Amino acid sequence: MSNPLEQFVVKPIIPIKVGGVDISFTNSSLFMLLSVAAVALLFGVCLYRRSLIPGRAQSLPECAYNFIAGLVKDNVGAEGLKYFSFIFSVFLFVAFGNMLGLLPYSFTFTSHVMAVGTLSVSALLFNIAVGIRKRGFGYLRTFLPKGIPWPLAPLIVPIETISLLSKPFSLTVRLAANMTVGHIMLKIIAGFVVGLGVLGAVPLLFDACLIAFEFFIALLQAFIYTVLSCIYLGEALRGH
Amino acid sequence: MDKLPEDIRQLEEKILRLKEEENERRRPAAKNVYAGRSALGLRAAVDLLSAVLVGAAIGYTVDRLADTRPLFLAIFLLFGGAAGVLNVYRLSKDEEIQRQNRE
Repeated sequence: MSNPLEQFVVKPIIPIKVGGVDISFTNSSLFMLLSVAAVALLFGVCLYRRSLIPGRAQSLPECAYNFIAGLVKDNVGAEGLKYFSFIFSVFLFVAFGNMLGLLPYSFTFTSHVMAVGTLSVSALLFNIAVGIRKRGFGYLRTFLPKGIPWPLAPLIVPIETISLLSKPFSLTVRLAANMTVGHIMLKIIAGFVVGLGVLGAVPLLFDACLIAFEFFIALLQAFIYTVLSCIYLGEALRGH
Repeated sequence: MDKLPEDIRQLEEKILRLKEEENERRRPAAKNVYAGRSALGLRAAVDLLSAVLVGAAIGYTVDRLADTRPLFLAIFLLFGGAAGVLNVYRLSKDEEIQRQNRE
């Protein structure tokens, strides 16, 4: 049985080193690019011929658009639609990353804490920038909510800061853990198929059910990631 | 001459009937309460734990820089715990508001 963790190894495809820092083009980078390319291709092809009454192909991007627009409106409010392009990009990137990872021989970059963490931290920086732009110095109220007396500041400020910083962390852990666990489970159960001979049909059947479930999880986790990003953006805009 | 309105009337009845059937079918199925609750519980657990870990990471880094181990690690672990409880408190508060809005 091959190692179930082997699928998560990051391998350099084009080794690049700049000043002792390894910035190689890896299989992880390749699948990130593929995910962006897949989204661009899908939208380009489906929206190539636009009509007022959408055909089957056109309604797919439109459905996704409406779905995320509704999400932003519900969780951030109408003013959040200004940042729609960001949220929509995040959703498509994560969703396609998850889905591409389910193809055989592919690499799931969303299972890597570093990859998802970078995305989450950039989302946090984006939220902070938006919050400061919208509320100016009022954004500092995030760290000391209204109604809290000044003497408590040394206690509240670190707590609020940690609370803010823990958001990208929890986002990352949730997504990466879900993707990792799913893929390990698929691989381990697949390892039994050959070893059990005729009885291998049982784990094979189980894997078939599991992969359908994994497709569901892939989309669900992209959705949850997006919803929570929306909620955090709403908090940055309005305060708690 | 009289036949046409009769046709239209029948058509209208048919449309109404189909619409009702369709609405009946589209009514959201009773949500799986258990799935929703467990997802919420998992989120609370992750939020609680992540704040503690972030606090520990900050404390550890400050200790490494200032060479004061384990003073700041202990302090920021406590802060992290408090931030975790705050996260869960806010989560449950938001959930309460959403539930009230739904009702």
